[in-house]
Amino acid sequence: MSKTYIVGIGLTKIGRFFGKGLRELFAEAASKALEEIGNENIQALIVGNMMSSSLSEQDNLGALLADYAGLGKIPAFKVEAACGSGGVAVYTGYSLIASGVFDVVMVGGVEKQTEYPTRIVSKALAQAADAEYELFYGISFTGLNALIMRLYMDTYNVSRDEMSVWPVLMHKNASKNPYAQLRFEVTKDQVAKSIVIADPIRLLDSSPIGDGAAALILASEKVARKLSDTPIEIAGVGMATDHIYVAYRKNLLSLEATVLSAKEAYRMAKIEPKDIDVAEVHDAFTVLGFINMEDLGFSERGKTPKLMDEGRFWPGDKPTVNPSGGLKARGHPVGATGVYQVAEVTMQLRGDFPGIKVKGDVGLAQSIGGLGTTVTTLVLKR
Amino acid sequence: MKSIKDVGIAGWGVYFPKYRIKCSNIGKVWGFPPQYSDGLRVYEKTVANIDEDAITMGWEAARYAVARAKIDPKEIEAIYVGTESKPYAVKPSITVIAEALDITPKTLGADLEFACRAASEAMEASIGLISSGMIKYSLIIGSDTAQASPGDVLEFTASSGAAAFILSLRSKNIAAYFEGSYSYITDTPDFWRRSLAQYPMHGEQFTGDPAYFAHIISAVKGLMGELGLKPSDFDYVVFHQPNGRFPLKAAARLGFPKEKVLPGLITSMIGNTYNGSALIGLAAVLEVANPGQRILLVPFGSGAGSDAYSIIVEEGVKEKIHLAPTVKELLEDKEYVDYTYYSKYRGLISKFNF
Amino acid sequence: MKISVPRVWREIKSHYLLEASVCTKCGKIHYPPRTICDNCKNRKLVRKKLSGEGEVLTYTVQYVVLEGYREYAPIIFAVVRLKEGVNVLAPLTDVKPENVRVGMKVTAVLRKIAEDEDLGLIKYGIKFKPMKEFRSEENVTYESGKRTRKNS
Repeated sequence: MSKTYIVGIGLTKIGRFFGKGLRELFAEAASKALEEIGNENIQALIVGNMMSSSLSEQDNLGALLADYAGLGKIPAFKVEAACGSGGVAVYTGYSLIASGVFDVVMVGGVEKQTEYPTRIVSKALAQAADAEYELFYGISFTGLNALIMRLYMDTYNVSRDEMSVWPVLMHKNASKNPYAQLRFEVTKDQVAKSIVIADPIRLLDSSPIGDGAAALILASEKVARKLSDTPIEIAGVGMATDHIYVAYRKNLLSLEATVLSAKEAYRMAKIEPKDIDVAEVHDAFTVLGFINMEDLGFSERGKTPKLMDEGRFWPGDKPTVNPSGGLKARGHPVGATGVYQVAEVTMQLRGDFPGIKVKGDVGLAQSIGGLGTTVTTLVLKR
Repeated sequence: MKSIKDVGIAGWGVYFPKYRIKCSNIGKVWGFPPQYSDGLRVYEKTVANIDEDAITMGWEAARYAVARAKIDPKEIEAIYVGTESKPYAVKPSITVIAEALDITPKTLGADLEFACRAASEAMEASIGLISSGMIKYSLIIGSDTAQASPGDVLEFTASSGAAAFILSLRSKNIAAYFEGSYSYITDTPDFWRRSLAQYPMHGEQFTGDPAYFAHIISAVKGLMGELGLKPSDFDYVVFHQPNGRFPLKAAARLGFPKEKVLPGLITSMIGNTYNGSALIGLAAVLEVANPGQRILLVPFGSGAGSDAYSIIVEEGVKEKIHLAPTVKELLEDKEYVDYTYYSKYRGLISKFNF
Repeated sequence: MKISVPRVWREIKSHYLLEASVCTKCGKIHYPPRTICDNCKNRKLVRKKLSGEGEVLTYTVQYVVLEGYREYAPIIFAVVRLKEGVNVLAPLTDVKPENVRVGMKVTAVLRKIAEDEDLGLIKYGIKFKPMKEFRSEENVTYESGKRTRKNS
């Protein structure tokens, strides 16, 4: 087994880019990453993406992007785990390096959500759920998460006002992040009064729809130092899956796949939650942000909203959560998000993140596919 | 027609939607003179929810019929739906209902059409199938989400509802049995809908004497003649009820006092449920009739035809009444909608093309 | 054609009849039904119809709907815990959003789920509606066309 390092990163800004397709966006991110390693050769490409097929009529994505990124006729393929495709792509890239198959691979993520109006994109996103027993009824991904939000608020007696602290923090952080999609601050009042999407989830509780691409260069310990002066180690990885039919699960207020994957990642990295300095967690919706913190072991069940209201997890605290602005405000280019998260944590540990900087040695990235159906947890170390 | 006396009603069920619209509301929107609909003796009608149709309502009525019949649905070997608002012009409604009741696959049956009388035709056919020994149980359903051109006087009464009956050989488990029946049909086009038309056409006054009255009266007289019965032999009279006036007029002409008609006359509260009309009236009567009493049931369908049945109530009726919701309970479960929601639910404003 | 006929057709029993699978070895009830038990890996499973009666565990009122469901907005979705202890996700019908309560008793009914516009398939399935428990009074009638109390 070889240690695995991240030696280069490249990101595009996240937003609605009607003028750029999958190829252009990916080439932009890939170029930046290649530049960081002095344009050395890549041996394989793994791409995370959810909807190239349903929204852009494009399969065979790996080959297409390897070509357009100028990588040559290398092994290239797409991995898919709905909104967690990015995390799975990193997991796969890591596995290929750690097992010794390759020395240098590129892990990419790209998503185009602006090809159609919302009602069609919503349907494509809802394919993350059970097609025959959830999507069958016309439930959207937001609707599914709204079931959990109501249960969370009722069970732990959390008010609408208390829930609103999450979007407020996310937007404040994103306002400093040049890559973020939503760079304006919001107040609790604005959150609570925003349009209802699926009661009780409001517009400002949901991550926005946007396009984006991210790329990482992973290298084995043999070549890492030749490609970068500040290689960041992927010290721990874990992935787990759960029943896709949400109602089938025993506990709807915890994502068991997060708990299992985090446990494995912590074990590998030989750390505990309290050792983590910065964490980028998958907050597709406000309620998931809180549940993630609890599943990852940062706070007690049901207590996170109040703790956050009191100042915990804001910049300056350990861990600082989502200094990028998270899915809520940095944005959520679905299949690419997991790669963004790892790139952001890498920059934090390198000391060159262009937004809010967090000093530290240990970082965490958590990427979720569906409603906790596939979760990848990664621990990075300086 | 030979009088078959060995077939009875093992169970019955009624379902109509909880939403109602007041007829005065409809009249106001289309500029009818005030209290116009009062003349029809219909005050409000049922409105199917946007996710309901003849199949879903038929299923619910049938579910209640199975509960009252106290049988395993798999014992039902025939299923018929009489409707003039089939969700598909070509594709049977009975198969969806049969699967949803777990009756399939060893089953016969079809969707039948004869305006409001189709379900009654199914009743006639079932009596034959059962009496001949071909099958043990038959499920007949009358279900409609009746259409009417917005602004047409028909809109006051065209409503949604369903009734289901399970027929079997006479036994201890039946609520009533058929003493005899008489059918009378002629080519009288008083009301029709062409195959691609959205709404029906009707002959207004022509739907009265040459159609409704002529066929109902002929069928009743035919039945009484064959069975040797007089009006005084019947305790209840249930006619097809397109409005609250016609049944009382027909009864008067035949010599039945109105007290025998009123218990089965529920159109005033729910409108004309077409294939459900007379059968829902029969269910309302079964909920108050006593064993030994005689019911005259006369469905009518435009085009035109009528069947007259003489039905004798049996001991088994009383304990079946509360095994499923009663007509009265359904009448009380109501919520009013205004013309805008009625238009949306009934597809008067476009559902598609977004 | 937007709705796939074979996909809808092969799940008819589990949608119309709430048919679940039951493991013959450990007894676990699976809804939606499956062919391999996730509890004990046994591959001999039998089918069983669920009751359709239960109560609401949690719900949402979805205003922003997917393509093909426009006319049903807002759609109320609920996780219903059935009598058998099995959870089902389905829409609620015949109830106003403001009248839905966690713990509300509901019963399953057959309704239209969606239509493939004017030419394609109509998709039927189960929705839950509030369970009514009442018996109307004996001496109340509707004969006059209005609700009246008969003198006994």
